[in-house]
Amino acid sequence: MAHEIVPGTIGWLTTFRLGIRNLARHRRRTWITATTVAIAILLLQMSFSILTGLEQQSYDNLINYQTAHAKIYADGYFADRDEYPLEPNLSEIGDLQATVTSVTGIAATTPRLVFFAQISNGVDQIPCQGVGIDVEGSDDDVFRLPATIVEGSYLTESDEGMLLGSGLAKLFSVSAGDWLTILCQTVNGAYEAIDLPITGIVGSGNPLIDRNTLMIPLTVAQDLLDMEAAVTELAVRFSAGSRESATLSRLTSALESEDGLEVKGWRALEENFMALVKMKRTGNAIMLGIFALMAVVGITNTILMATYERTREIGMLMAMGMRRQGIRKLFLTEGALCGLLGSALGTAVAFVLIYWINIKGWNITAMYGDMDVGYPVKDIIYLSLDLLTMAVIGFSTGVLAGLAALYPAVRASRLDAAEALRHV
Amino acid sequence: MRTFSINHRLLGIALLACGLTAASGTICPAGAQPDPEEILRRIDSNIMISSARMTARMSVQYSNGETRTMEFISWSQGTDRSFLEFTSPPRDAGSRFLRIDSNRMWIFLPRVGKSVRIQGHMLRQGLMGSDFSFGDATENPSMVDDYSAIMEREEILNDRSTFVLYLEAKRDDLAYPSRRIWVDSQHWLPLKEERYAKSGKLLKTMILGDVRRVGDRWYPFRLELNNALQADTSTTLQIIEMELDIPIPAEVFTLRNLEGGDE
Amino acid sequence: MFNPVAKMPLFRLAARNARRNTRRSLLTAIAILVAVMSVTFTFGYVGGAINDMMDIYARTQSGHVRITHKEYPDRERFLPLHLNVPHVSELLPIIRTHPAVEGVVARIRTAVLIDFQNENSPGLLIGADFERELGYFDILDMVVEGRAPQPGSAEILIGAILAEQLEVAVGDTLILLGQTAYRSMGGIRAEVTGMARSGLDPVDRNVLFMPLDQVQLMTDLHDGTTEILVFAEDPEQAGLLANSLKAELDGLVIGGLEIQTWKDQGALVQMMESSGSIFGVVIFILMLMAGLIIINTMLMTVLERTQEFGMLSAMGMRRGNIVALILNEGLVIGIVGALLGGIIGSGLSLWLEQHGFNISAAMEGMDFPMKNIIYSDWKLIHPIIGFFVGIATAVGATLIPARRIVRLKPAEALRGK
Repeated sequence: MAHEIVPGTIGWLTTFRLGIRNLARHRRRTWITATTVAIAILLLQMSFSILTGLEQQSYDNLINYQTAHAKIYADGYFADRDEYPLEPNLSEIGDLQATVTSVTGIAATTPRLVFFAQISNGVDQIPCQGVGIDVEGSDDDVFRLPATIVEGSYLTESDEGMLLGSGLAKLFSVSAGDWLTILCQTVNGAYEAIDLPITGIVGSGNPLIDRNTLMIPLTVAQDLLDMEAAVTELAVRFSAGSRESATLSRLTSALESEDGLEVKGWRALEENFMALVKMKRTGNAIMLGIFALMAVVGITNTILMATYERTREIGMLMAMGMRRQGIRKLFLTEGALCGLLGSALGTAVAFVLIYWINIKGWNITAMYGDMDVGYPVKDIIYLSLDLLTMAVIGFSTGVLAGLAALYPAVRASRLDAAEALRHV
Repeated sequence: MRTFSINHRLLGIALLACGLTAASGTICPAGAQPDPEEILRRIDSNIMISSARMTARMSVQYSNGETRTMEFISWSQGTDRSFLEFTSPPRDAGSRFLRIDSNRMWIFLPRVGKSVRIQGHMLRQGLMGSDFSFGDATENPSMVDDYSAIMEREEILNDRSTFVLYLEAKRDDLAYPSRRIWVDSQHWLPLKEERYAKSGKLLKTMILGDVRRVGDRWYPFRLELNNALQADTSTTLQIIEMELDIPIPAEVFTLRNLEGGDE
Repeated sequence: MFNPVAKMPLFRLAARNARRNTRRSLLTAIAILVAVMSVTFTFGYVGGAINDMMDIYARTQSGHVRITHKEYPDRERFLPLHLNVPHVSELLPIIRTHPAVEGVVARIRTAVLIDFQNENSPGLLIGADFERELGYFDILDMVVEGRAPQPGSAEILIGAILAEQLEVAVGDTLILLGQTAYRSMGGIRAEVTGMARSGLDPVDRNVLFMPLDQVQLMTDLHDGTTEILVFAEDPEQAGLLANSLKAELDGLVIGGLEIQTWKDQGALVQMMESSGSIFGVVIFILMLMAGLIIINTMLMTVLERTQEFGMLSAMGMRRGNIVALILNEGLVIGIVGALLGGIIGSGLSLWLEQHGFNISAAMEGMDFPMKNIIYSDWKLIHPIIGFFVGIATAVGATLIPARRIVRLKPAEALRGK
């Protein structure tokens, strides 16, 4: 490299090495600064993780228990879905499922039969939504119902029984093992009623499920409703790590050639919920803003003080011939290194902490339950582990720390050596 | 044809049963027991009306002791068409219902001033809060056309001797896939009817009484309906007066009549 | 025994020291200021958010005290009209004269079937006295298109999202079918005069508003309603108010009344518990952060001056006094910082309380007149807590470095390590 070596300046590599040596030499100072940065970053990462975790939870709840990632209907069904029609329906499920699973990004599919039902205990009759699920087959590949059982047990294909939402169970004051009558109408309009015992009670945190749904094996439902092998919808789960919108469009195009099908992504299935989430985001943003402010102040303050403390040192360097530029470079680097060290530390601890908390989940015993306003969240929440965002937060703080060191360095470098040396 | 072979087989069994029971001294009408299909035919000839106009009272009893009573006039034609107008109490007076077939029903409330088509879930609701669903109240099926019958036994019900018949729907789309009727062996009318879901579970019980002769038929003037799944109410229908087989102008079964008829 | 040192005016000394090195003191004070300011403001903000939730719940759902038919709460899911509160026009004046009552509203809630363009859809009909609801359900403030219905006219104010789903526009006529108080069938034909946006999803998606007298006509509820909501001057006294009303009103109504406070009505408690825990965590993290920046700053300030304190020790100052001096310096700066922080934080909090922060700009193109404004709920206790926490932390934070310094031998201290 043909460098013109200007006396009093140092190259970046040297700066870097010098910076590291300085940091190493003044351990206490470095550690105080780095630790401050680390803790501030840790707290910031945690709060971000908690707030986004909540939001994520509610999406997860929606996807895991209600909408899956997408649903496929016979054309015309969706517009009338509030009437719970049994026609138009999907009849050649096997082929359809094969087609769908062959699309990249699709993890699993499961057929479901949704129908209008009334539950009676002989005295009261309450309307609700009935769902026939492929118990021993694919339902738990797509949905996560088994995890929501709060009493009794999950269904098995052979036993005659139903899963009842906890809200409905409360209304009838029944528990697992009690019997209730289900009244519905076959696809042709004939009344059908059967008595079923409650195999398990479901508490998902999702009001639609808990207060309005009962579930029975798909074959029982098809028999009940004279549907033969037909179903009303095919629910689809995307693979973990697949890109949602890309997969959805791939799915839609794959099915375009098939006549009479309609695909709906989960966001389209639950518009009112999405509106709610948007509102909550702003509140969260404010909280995070406050935290960020404090983190910034804390870090900047620390670095400022650390740097001012070394004004004499700066004077010494200048006296020894280092140019202003070099001083600025040096302090910038030191500040940045220190900041990055601290933020890497803080982020790493945050990562471990979040991971650890997520093993068991964090029990906040909270249900927004009856209100229908708020996240459908169960009593255990998981924090979000968004590596990209964490990295961004970590890195930008490092940069911030560097800049924080720059200001006092610039000021100090403007003094003349003698003044700086005199600094106490 | 399926019904014939069943009836022939069952006729044989019935005869056998008759023979067996004769030995134990149970009542058996002279000769063979009547053919169940024949019984249905006779019921139809009593119950099915080509046209009728009637005034009736409907009362709903609640489990807490309260009773609610309403009165109405109705016109019906064939198995499909009927028109109801409530006349009492004053708050319900002027409410009207029109049925053209099982899929087309309308309601007219004076305060609303315009007819509303009843669809979907609404059809399952009870008419004016009673145990009669909109479907029930206006349906008038032909027993013999819609159901095939098996004779089960004889029974004494309310001091009348009855044949107990078990009915199975001939079509998939009948609301009640099976029924059991207690047929009065003299009047050829069901005195009691149980309606079941496809699985056989009891849904509704009807008790018919106050049988009167009208022209050349017998007709039950009182009907009591109990919903097995919703036991806190029961509904009774009492016909006050009835005219049968009268000509009814087609305009009666129109929306125009529903909304602003002079009657 | 004469001990002039003990009588040293430590506080004044501390103050002078602080003034001497402005830059350092300023930085320290700023750290404390920001910490206390953030704590003060956040308390207000969080309080405001919780208040907001409870407030909306009370105004739209439960009141502070709710009066219904005795059997109504058990069957509430079915919205049974036949279980109603009769003679409402006689009861309302009695309730209004009660000293602890700020306001009373009577409402009818009933499930209806909306018939429009030959389609039937379910909806929730709320009959209310729009004028009297000002300050409570604030129905008049929700109107975003058209106008509110007039009492005495068969007119509807429809939730904007519901209107969208049904493709209903202002000027359209809807037929509503529902129950009557006699369990019979009732209905009404009415014109949509306006659209409402409350910002509350359950309302905008499901609700139709009509004047109370119209709904009473439709449901044959002559002078009756499904509920009376009572608002107390002091919500905390809801329990007392409920008892007092029970005594006054019981016996006036055959069949009996059920009088519940907002806490009795179930949903609120759940809501509070859930939001309470989340906010608790948030506040905890906040305090940690605040503590962090104060401690860290104080630590550095003190350690930075090791030499200086070494000098004092060499000159004969007692250890105890040096520690005291350091503590006092912490106190001085702490007071300044915490006081300013408390004031600024309160200022922000109060401003937010008065004006609210309209975040509708952040909400892509939709305008929510009521709900998208964030308010704060400032209480004096907030800056007080902030102030004391700030000072305590500041002074406490000086302890550790102070002790370290005085343990050094003067010579070491002078060397400034």
